[in-house]
Amino acid sequence: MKRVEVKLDLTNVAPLLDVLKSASDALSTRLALPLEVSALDADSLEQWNADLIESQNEDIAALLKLFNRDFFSEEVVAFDEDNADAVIRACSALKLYLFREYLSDLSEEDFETNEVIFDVLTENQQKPYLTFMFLDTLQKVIMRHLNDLVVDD
Amino acid sequence: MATPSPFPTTTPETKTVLTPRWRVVFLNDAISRMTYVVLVLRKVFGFNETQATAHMREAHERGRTILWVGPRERAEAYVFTLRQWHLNSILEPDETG
Repeated sequence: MKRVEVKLDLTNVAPLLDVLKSASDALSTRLALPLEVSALDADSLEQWNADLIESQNEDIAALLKLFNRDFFSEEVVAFDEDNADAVIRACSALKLYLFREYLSDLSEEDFETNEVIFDVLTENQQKPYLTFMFLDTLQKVIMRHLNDLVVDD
Repeated sequence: MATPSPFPTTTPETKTVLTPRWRVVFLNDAISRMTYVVLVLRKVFGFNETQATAHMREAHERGRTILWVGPRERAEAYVFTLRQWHLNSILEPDETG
């Protein structure tokens, strides 16, 4: 089984874990991407919403599991075919939440070019922004190294 | 002279009833990385890299792209799966058929 280990700097990542935890708490009962599918009737919407929240919670739990006791001693997180899909989906859910809650006044181009000037962010935006970029990087690393697991050609 | 049949004659008539078709439409969003969108489209629809990239670009430039057209049940399953991957997608009737 292909496995990728990523060494993270605890001093940089630890402060972001609080943001991750509070975002995951906020998302425990709602979707990061609100369900707007007008072709569905009310009953179906309710069922989909419940099922998607359950799926989202499972994915976020897989992400948070990376930052367990071993992470604090070894500063390493590991990905393989068992958790890769869930973790990259969780990264997307949490990025969406952080963007909508804290960063929506930044432009799309800022994110695409990574040209957000940190100093112009308000104090309330700085940690969410760093957490957003951390999740974005984590997602890219998994996609780059486990692409053959994520996409079955 | 042939004896007339006691049964009324009928001419079989075949009617094709088309099942309504539905579109799976992906709507562009500001957050998802292009590489992520391409990866998800390949994974969910089995597109190759070129097809997935073309859809991603169309969504990015026009705001939306039609990913698939077919029976409603399967279209719903695709939209549900895309939403599990947090890609904004909707279901709409295909009025071209």
